[in-house]
Order: sequence, then structure tokens, then C-alpha cells
Amino acid sequence: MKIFSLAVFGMVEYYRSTWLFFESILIAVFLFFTLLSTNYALLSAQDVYLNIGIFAVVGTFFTSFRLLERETNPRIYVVLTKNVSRREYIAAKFSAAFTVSAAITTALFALEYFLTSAKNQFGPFEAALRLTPAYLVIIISAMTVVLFSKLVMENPLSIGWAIVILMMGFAQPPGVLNYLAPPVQQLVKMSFNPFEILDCLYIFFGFLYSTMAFFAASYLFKRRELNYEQN
Amino acid sequence: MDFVLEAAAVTKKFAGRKALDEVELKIPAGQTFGIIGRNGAGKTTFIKIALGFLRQTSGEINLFGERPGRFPGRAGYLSEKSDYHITFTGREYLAYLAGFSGVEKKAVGGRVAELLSLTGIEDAADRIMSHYSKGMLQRLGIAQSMITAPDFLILDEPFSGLDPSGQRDLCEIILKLKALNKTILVCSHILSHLEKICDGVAIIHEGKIIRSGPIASLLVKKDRYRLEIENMSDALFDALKSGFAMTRSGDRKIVFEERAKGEKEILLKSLIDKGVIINGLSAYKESLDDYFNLEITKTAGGGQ
Repeated sequence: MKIFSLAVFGMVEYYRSTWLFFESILIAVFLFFTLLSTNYALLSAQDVYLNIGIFAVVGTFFTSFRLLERETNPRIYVVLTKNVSRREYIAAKFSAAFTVSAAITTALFALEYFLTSAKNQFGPFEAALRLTPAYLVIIISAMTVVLFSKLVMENPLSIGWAIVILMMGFAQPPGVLNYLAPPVQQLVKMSFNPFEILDCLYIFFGFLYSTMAFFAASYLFKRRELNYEQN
Repeated sequence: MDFVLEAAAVTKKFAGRKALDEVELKIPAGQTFGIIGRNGAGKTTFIKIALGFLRQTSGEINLFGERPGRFPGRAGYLSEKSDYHITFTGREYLAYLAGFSGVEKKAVGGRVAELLSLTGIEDAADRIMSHYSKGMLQRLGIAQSMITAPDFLILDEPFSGLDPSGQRDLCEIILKLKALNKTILVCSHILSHLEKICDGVAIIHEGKIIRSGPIASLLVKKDRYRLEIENMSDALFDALKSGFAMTRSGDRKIVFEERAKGEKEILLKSLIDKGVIINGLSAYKESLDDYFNLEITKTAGGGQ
């Protein structure tokens, strides 16, 4: 309940401070590139889900990054001197980042679904069901950003690792890196390909990766010093 | 005596530089305690260690007998910088904070109203905080620090940036909290206020506690008296000054130091014989400001 309340607080504060202006611009940009296609109405479900997969990573990256930056200042003392543990704080920040990212991804998907021929390929229920892997991509992306954020790592440049890992997850380079990167590409493909039993492994791996990232972020955040008003 | 905060030989280094050096401090339960020191003396670093935001390099510090940060809601904190989530109204903000602080949903409204009333910002409670003055934000800061009904409050520079009337009001709020039997730790440069509200003080200089104790025993000087007099000429004062250790302190006050037993009575008799009216005699109490400056000068000069 505490995590839920803190996540709601974080989301409301983020919404009131930013009016989701950046997210709206991002949606407009993605929509613009879709509409740039001469026959956008004929774009297939595969194009739409691929576009949504990319947006799930990019949108979540920027939203989580901006949301986590909100309290890398003395405001964090106000929150952490209440009955909130550092693990609960990380869980709440992740929940808020996931919820906002999932909402904007769903909004973009809804627009693209009705503008393209995807609506002719899948009915609304099936189309929504096929969006499920994108939510796991959002979970993975949000947790990666949380782990490498300035809030957890202190070093603002550490966010670069999140970019590398998410790009690797999308590109799935051959060799050992393929097994180190989170299964972003497989999850995106899962949306428009027929479901196979191997996909369960990717789903499991996606959750495992996110859980490990959560515990790593909690552990590091618990150990880090918070010194935001130096003399 | 129960102590809320106990620090033993606490040292903190930042990149090899000692910000705190073997700090020993005990804050008794139910007292208002002040930490005074110049900028960069280590006050805020000590507070952050006490709250678990920083870790000491060596030494031990306990809050309620436990490692700092273990029970975050038991110590309220007003940070030096009034940096809040200013897109909320004061009432909304406190309600959200209460929501994730474990205050029961039914009790949130009452708790928020109680704190708004205690800090005197009911009238501004439904205004967006970005429109608040510095004084209002400080009041709201006190209110937010009290949301979990903590037993211990840490106020870091609560008077900074406030006008004299705002400072006086804040003093009264702190005195109200003191009356609620809260243990309060205040760091401030406004020593005249600390003198009014604190039971004890510690002076920190270059990371070391150089003096600490109950304020009355630090400021009241043994064998020194303040005499309130009338009808004393300069010539008489000069004549007496050659025989007694005395200085003027304002038009109608003199400070006298009794160097030998019975000297006080001799001086009083001399004054009465010369027709001086004595309106009062009391133990001399130094101002905290004077005491602080003297101790810092002595320490900086190498003398203790």
C-alpha cells in the first residue's frame, strides 16, 4: 500500500510538473513517422508492433530517466524521512515509471491501430493481448533505467550503460552478448509472430532480468550516501 | 537519563578531508538541543549521519539505540534548503506524505488539519506551494517533518531566510513542539533564538565538538554578578574600579567579578554608603552569541 501511495504521489507530481509534454512530443514524432508512409493506412500489424516495440524502449527510457531525476535533490529527504524504506522507494519509482510508460505506449498503439490496417488483421481483443509482450519490454526498460540512474549509481554517466544494454537487447548481437542482453527483440517479435513454446523462456528470462535488476538497484541504493546539500 | 541520539568518536572524511573529527554527543530525551558552528563546521554532515543519509568513516552513532535509518519515520527532518514538491497545495502535499507514511486513511484529514493549525498555515493550505513565501515553506517544512508524529525532530537552519517576524513566529512553533515533549535538535546561526528555545548546546568547530552542555551552566559564570544601579557618577565608578574588578554594561548596569570571598558585600556596602541605589543583583549570564565567539576565538587561537 505504501509503495502504491508513493508511486501515485510520484506520478501526480511528474504529471503536474511536466504535463507529459515530452511524452506527447515523442508520441507525435512516432506517429509522424508512421503517417509519413505513403500508404500508412495499409501498414500491417507487424509494422505497428515493431514501431510500438521501439517506442516501448525509447519512451520508457526517457520517461523513467526524467521521473527518476525529479528527486535527485534535497526533496528526497522529505520522502525518506517518512516510514519508507529505500527498497520501497525504488519499487515505487519503478512502478510510477512503468505506469506512465505503459499508458503512453498504449495511447500510441491505440492511435496506430485505428489508423493502419492492423485493425483488419486483429480484432481489438487480440490486438490488445498481442500488446502484452510490449509491457514486459517496458518493465525491462524501466528497471534497467532505474538500476543505472543517477539516483542509484550517483554517477550521471552511468545511464550510458542502460542505453548500451537496451540497444543490445534490441539488436541481440551474436555470441555471448546474446545471452547477456535482455530479450527485448524476442519479445517485440512475439507480438506479431505465432506463439511458440520457446517464447515462455524469453518471458521467464525477461522477468528474471527485471527481478535481478530490481534487487541490484535496491541493494546499491540502500548502500549509497545521499548528500544533496553540500556546504 | 535516556538519550535519543548518542554519538561516540564519530569521524567522517570526504576525500581524505575530515568533516567530523571524533564527535562525542548525547542528546537527552525530551530536550531541545542546539548545535552551533560556523559554515562548514560539520553540523549538516552530523545530521545526515544521524539520519542515515551519510555513513560515518569511523565511530558509532545510535538513534533510539539503533543504527540510523533503521526506522525512518521516528525522526522528522527539516532540511536546510526548502526544496519541496511545489506543484501541490500545502494540504494535498501533507495528505500525500501522510498516505505513504502509514497514517491510516481515515486519520489523514485530521492529522493534516492538526499540523496546518500547529504551524499556522491553514489560510494558505489550499494554495499551490509554488506561490508560498519562504516563511510559509518553512512552516510547511515543520508540518511535513511532524507528519509521522516523530519523537525526535531535527531542524537544520530553520530560521534561514526568514524576516525577524517570521523568525519569532517559528520560535513560537518550536516552543509549542517543545511543550509536546518532543526531543528537538536545532542547528542555527541565530544564536539569540537558540538561547531562548534550547536546554543544551554544543559548539562544533572544524568538525570537533569544542564545548557542550546545559545552556544554563555554560552561560552562567561563577562568581560574576550583574548589578542594576541608579545614581552612580563616572567619577565614583572610576574610583571603585581601582579596587574592584568591575565593568559597565549599559547605562545602569555593572558586571562585577568577586575575586575573594566577601568582596561582593564590601562593594555593595560601598555603593550604598555613596548613595547609589541598587535595584537588583543577579548571577551574570553571558549571551550565547558572546560565549560562542569567545570559545571559537580561544580554539582558533590554540587556547582552551
